[in-house]
Amino acid sequence: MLRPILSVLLLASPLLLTSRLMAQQSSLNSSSCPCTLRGTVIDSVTGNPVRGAFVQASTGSAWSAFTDAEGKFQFDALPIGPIAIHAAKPGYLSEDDFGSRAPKNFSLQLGPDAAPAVLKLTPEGLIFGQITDEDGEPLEGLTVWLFYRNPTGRGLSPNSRLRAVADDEGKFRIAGLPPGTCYLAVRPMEGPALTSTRNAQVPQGFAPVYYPAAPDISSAMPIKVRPGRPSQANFSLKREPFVRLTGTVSGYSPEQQVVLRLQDFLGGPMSHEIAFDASSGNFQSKWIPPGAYTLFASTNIPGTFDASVAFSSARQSFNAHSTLSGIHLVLQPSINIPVVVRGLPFANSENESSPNFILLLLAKGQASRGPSHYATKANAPTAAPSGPLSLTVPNVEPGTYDVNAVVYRGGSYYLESVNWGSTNLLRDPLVLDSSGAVPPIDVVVREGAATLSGTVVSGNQPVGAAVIVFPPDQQMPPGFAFSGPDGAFTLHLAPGTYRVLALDNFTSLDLENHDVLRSISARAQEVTLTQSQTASLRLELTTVEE
Amino acid sequence: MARLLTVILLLFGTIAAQSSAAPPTTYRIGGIVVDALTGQPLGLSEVTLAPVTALEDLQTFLTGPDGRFLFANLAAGKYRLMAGRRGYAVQGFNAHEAYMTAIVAGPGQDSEHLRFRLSPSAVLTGTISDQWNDPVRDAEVTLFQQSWSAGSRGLHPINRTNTNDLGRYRFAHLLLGTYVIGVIAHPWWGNFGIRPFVISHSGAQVGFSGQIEGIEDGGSAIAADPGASLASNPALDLVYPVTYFPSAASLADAAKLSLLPGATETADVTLRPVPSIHLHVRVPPAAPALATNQTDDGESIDVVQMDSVTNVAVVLNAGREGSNNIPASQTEISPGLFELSGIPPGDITVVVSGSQGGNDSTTRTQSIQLSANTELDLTRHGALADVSGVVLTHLDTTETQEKGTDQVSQPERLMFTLEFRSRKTGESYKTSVSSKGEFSFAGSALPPGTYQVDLSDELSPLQVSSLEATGATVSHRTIDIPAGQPVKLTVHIAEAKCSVAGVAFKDGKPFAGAMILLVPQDPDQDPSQFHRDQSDSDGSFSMAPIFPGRYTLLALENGWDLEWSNPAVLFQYLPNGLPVELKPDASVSLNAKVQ
Repeated sequence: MLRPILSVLLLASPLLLTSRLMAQQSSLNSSSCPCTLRGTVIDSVTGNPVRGAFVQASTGSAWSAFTDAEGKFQFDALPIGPIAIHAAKPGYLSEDDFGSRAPKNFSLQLGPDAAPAVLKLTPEGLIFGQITDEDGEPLEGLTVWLFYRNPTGRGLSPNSRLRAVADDEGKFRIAGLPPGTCYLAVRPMEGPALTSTRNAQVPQGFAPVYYPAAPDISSAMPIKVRPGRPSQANFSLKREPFVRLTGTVSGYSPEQQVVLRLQDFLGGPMSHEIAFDASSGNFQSKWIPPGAYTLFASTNIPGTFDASVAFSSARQSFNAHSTLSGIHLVLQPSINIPVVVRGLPFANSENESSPNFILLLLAKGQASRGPSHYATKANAPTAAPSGPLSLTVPNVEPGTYDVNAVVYRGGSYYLESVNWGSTNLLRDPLVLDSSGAVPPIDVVVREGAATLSGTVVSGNQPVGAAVIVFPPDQQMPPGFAFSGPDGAFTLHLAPGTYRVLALDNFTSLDLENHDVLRSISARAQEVTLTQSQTASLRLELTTVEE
Repeated sequence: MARLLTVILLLFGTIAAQSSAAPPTTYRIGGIVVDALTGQPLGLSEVTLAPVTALEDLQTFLTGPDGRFLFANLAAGKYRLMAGRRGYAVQGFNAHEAYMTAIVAGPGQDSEHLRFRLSPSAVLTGTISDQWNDPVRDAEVTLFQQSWSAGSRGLHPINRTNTNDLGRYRFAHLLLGTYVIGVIAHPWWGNFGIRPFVISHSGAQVGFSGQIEGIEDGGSAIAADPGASLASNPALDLVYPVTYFPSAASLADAAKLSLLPGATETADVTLRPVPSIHLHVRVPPAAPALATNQTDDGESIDVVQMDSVTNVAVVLNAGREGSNNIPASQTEISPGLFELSGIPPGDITVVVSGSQGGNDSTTRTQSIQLSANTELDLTRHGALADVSGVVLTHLDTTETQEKGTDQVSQPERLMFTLEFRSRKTGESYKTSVSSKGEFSFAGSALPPGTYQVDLSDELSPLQVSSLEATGATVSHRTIDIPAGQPVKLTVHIAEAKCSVAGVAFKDGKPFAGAMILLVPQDPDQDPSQFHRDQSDSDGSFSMAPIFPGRYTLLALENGWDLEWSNPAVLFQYLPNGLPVELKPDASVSLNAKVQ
């Protein structure tokens, strides 16, 4: 999952102003080093010194220190020239928390009489809370999942690293969070441990909910995570009668094995077992919490997962507020979709620097993406050195898919069009029914992408930010880039007129909301790019209001 | 009833007899859940019931304020009854250690007036902090409980957790008992690209003290070493010792925390970094190569691999009985000499295993106290024993032997590992037995000495019954291996296929909840030859698998605190016990009188 840069980890404002001056001094005065570097590590929110922080200064060699009670550190006997400084401490966000495009180091030119460095550490965000039942009794052992809005604007992505299990007092904590907006959901324990039968015929238990008690994402309440300011999120769950799903599956032959899987609204792997009788086609689920489910059935020849082996499948989503019977799934043969890519230079795919291509199909409107379907040049049979590249997306079930085509490692190439029959897949989804033969997805790649580079600033300071690019066709989804700590970003784009905007925080934005999109795009800068043009922009950071 | 139940043959007989009766009769199991100390009924208790033969077939009852529970429409049979509640750990009915009394539903059984005494559970919590009094996140905290194992009291790990962002850990649902807390953690700054510091090619030690004091003080400790790369900064080559509450270096010196029912106790631990110990392992210089292996549970273990022909693996565990892996890192500093670093000082168990290809492999386990950099020389300067032999299984002693085979059958598919344990040095050497039943220590590191020979898998239904040797003296399962002459050893294996079942009686009535103990007649038998059970609500008990031999069966009303493997303790009970002789494959059913 892409994770945005939301703030700058390290700032050393005096140094930025003085470094050029120092470099001049040092060239005149190099004999006076070994140099001394003094500095302070402070909390970016409180401004207080941070004691016991680990500070590392490195050129080719490395020097390490821990800050004292006043947050101060000092390195002696450093060589003159460029040096990188880095500070870290548990409780403060590290570079990993900002994703790979995050600031690596703060660097400066070291010379004699260097001004003291000020390193700012951003305190982590934290969500804590308690889970209780309708009587206020703490509930133990439930898992709290943390979600972020998917940067592509489609649904939520769980962060598997960031989750917590409620303790015996029902309490949970999720620490180490970058600033932003997230969602929480509670999933009751899986397996047969129903909380209570209360001697009723229908077992009762807890259904999964989004915070605070929402049955689906549309009514979920977002939680704002701020550096150093813990957010509280309590859940009060109610016992509900469990439900059962029963029905039939058809469309398979006796030698085919049918696999049934059930996914709840949180997606991911489900251990809810479904009993299936292949001779009658009848299935019955275990007792499960009421809620939204997707039932997925497919034939699987045991032991073979070869993409070239065709299989049949069916998928159905429903809200099971009470026991559902008479569900009928008809297995449909899956479809191989041909893909023809024109204009991409053929090169040995072993060559890591040659442009490559991938086309992804993402099932639309599903709680879970389901199995991933893709075609990539890396998997293509060896093609002729010239001419179009022929690929296949194998075993696609009927359904509606967002198509995501990417040319990577090819800065000078861009996608001119992705068409499927009369459908423009750059803009519209692919709707696959089970009517048999399908036309190929026709991809045209052109050389001569324009290069848009620039700097994001806030005041006069360069900052890391999310850069959003609205394409000429307003129906097309926006693109994203991230500026580094020096504010710099680079994009390769097809020729056209774009609107470009830098945001401090886009996880709080609902990019599927057209009103939101319109309001932020009004603040964007417009830029027109021609083929192979190189353009530069200075973007003032737009702050997303809460 | 043991929690890990084997099939109860007697029960099958009962069910089969009843299935012929025309109208299916159903039974009920019910009673009241009460606080074990106050006797007060406990509402909101979750009571679960499952047939002992199908434990996944679980029913749950949530008690009302009167604490009463009732499961109706039950088939006759034996059921596992458990209950738990907030503040009360999930417990089996009348549970003792891993044993509980199963409830029998059926004709003539009163299963509707049970008094389920739930013991309130305690909480043990605490904060792990570092030398700056900052919380230590993700410290691994192990909870040890003083419990009976193999007939003697000892501290055994029962749970493990990691500290949260506040450095806090919390163990809930603890029953009355004695506990110890142990902490394994790594300094957080170790995550910032600092790799182990290699001492030197000659193995000379490097002084650490000056630079460490700075870190201890939390001052501006500068670890500036212009010549050193990031990868080898000795001032940051620090580890937290394995620390037991409050600040002990070993389990034996740890404070024992007595938890009373319902109590919440706090055990905070402060970790102080010390220089990492560097362990040099010298192996025969035969084109060594370095590798890291993954264990099944995904933990990275440290392996010094020699080459495809001969290889040696070194695994480090904390403590004397070490189950907690210490993830040290290793570097080859010269051919045949490896350095393992990132090791805390203290008790450590070193497991060195090696093989010469094929089925010949040896494992040598040694507990050592590491207080300074140490070299472990595996190049074997002294004379080695030359021991080889064959393992014979007597799995079938009846006369229906297959033609063409010997008096004994060969262990075709069974994989054995033989363990030679020296009582004198504490070292143990393992060697695997080939599919043909052959084994050899030729060329492996078995020095001359006195060893007890066992199968290394304690849970195996097989055991060494006797030894025969040429070139060495044997006695029962002990062998005295001399230096300088080849030893041919024949190891005889017996299989546990016997079972003992029955009913405990007191004053002529079946007695529930008695501790049933099967005592081997040979007092030198190891504790694994003892068998235990707890009588169920109809007084019945069942134990299997058991090795053939002579035993005494005891049923003790208050036996759960006995040091039962101690012959002196058992002496007062044995005369009133019931002698049992188990022939191979015997299934014995008898009644035991409760003492």
